[in-house]
Amino acid sequence: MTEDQLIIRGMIREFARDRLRPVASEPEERDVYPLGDLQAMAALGLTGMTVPAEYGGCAGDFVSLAIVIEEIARVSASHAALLGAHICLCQQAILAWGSEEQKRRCLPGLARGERFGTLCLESFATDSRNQGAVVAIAEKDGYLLNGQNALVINGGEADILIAFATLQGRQSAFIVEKNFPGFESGRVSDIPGFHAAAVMDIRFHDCYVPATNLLGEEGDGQAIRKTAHQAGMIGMAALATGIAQGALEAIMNCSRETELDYTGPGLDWTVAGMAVKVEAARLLTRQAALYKDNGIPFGPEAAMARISASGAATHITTRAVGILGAMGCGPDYPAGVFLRDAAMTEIYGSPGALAREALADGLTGRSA
Amino acid sequence: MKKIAVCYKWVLSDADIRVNEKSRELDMEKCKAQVNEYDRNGLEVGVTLKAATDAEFVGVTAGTATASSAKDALSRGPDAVYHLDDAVMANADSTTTSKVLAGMIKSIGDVDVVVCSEGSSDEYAQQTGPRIAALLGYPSVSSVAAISVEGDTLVLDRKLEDGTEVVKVKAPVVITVTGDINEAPIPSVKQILGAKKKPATAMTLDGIGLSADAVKPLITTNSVLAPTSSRKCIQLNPDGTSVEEAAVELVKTLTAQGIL
Repeated sequence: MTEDQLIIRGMIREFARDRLRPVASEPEERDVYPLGDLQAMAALGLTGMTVPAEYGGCAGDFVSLAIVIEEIARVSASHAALLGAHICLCQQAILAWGSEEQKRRCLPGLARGERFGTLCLESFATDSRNQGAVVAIAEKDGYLLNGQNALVINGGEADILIAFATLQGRQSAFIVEKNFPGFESGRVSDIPGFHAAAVMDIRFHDCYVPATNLLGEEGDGQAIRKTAHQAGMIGMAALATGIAQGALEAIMNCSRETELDYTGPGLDWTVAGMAVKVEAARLLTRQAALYKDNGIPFGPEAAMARISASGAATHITTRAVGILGAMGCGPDYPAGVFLRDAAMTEIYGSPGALAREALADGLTGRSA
Repeated sequence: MKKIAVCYKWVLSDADIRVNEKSRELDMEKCKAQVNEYDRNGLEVGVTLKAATDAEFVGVTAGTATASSAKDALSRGPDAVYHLDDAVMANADSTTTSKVLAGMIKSIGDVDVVVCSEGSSDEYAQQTGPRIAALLGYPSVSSVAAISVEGDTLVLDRKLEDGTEVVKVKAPVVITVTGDINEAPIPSVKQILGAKKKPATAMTLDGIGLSADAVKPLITTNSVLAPTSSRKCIQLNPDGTSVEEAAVELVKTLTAQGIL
């Protein structure tokens, strides 16, 4: 890590420990949107940390962002998911594909955290190479959108959403604002984790989007989705690494502070194996982020990081629940919460399908 | 006011200290260096005074490996940082520290307000501020819990045991501030990334006109061990002994133990 990255890590650890940890569990338990915490994150510049200075951001790097998301996820995966969707999905799509006018209109408010953004990555269709369940038709200087998207992080609260819709047989991407008539969000029941991340289903009923909000050109949707998905894989990998690290620390802290003894040939080997998985996920994540920072294609690396980190989070949180037993259900060693959030990293963005397909595509040269 | 100098110490984080239960020795291997938490309040005072007076604000530190403190400190508000790294500081006592810091402040020049916190998280000797004042020949105002600026006058609230004393003072002055004077903010990403654009100047003992002999510590530390406490559990009222009898027994026991 560079000196800047080390200082940023120290800063975010202090923020997570002093500001976030004391309050993070309440929105999680009550499914409440943590707007105050997001505003505190905005005051630290986190909401615009990778946005260029000309659009009101801090012009920071993606490795630093991965560090920030991991550190926040150690305390609250929901908060990390909200920040990840805001930056990796929404801002990255606009930065890569937005017109100059769109960048100047959208990015400063997003960077300052006055507005929050997300992107509708999932659809209800099961094929990961699908054309999207939302349909658009041309309508007087704009488009009418109809259809639905599933499991949109911050779908219920975000001010700006990047939505995908099939337009004349090809996918296109649109900047949808929360106050557009015909836009609705609905609560998802039985979602295992990310309880404070306003994960919602999105519905469009004759939702009119002006032509000035078409992102890229008509038919660019698939490429824009890929841009967002690749950056999003780094964010989700960092988040999963944070969950895995948090669960590992729960075991170690419990061992240090209570009668649980993880020394001995059984449990200490297990903990050592967990530490290896966390570190491998962390290094893969930072490698992908470093590639991105240096303009090197990073799709396969991001997919490897995503698969490795989600696997580590699921493995470690599952074992942590077993090791900690009843103690893992309380607030001191919250293995149960980590397990639920780890499940979300397996569900969201479908690492079993999208990430593996992206990795295979990159390795076989099927895509640029 | 021309220049505000805030002294800060680059210390090891005490959160990661491990104690060897047998030898009681401290294992500091995992401790990371950081700006002393008390000094973060001092640096925030510098930010406030700079905003109120337009004076230049510099951070000053002496210790070991202090060059690596510069960016962290600069992200907390100073316009510039001066750091001195010398082996003599590894075992520095309050005499050494204050002599070196006073020497640095003289060399920097034009410093008319010096701000220190009440102590450091490692030594907490609480002597540096008043000692620097004596060495510089500046008035010293300690235990300052609030500051306001009225023209060229600083209005300082001193938190004392039996009340608050309000002191009005003009520069030059050395102020020692308490931890509750403000809530030191966490630096933002912009402040951290902007720190590299600010100057950090390395100073040496030779450069500030001091010899290692002149700042030699007067105190030698032989060992640092974790404290121990032993407890005795004595029940004074077994088998229904009355409270009165137990009280008499308690006084006898405490007297026998040398506590009373």
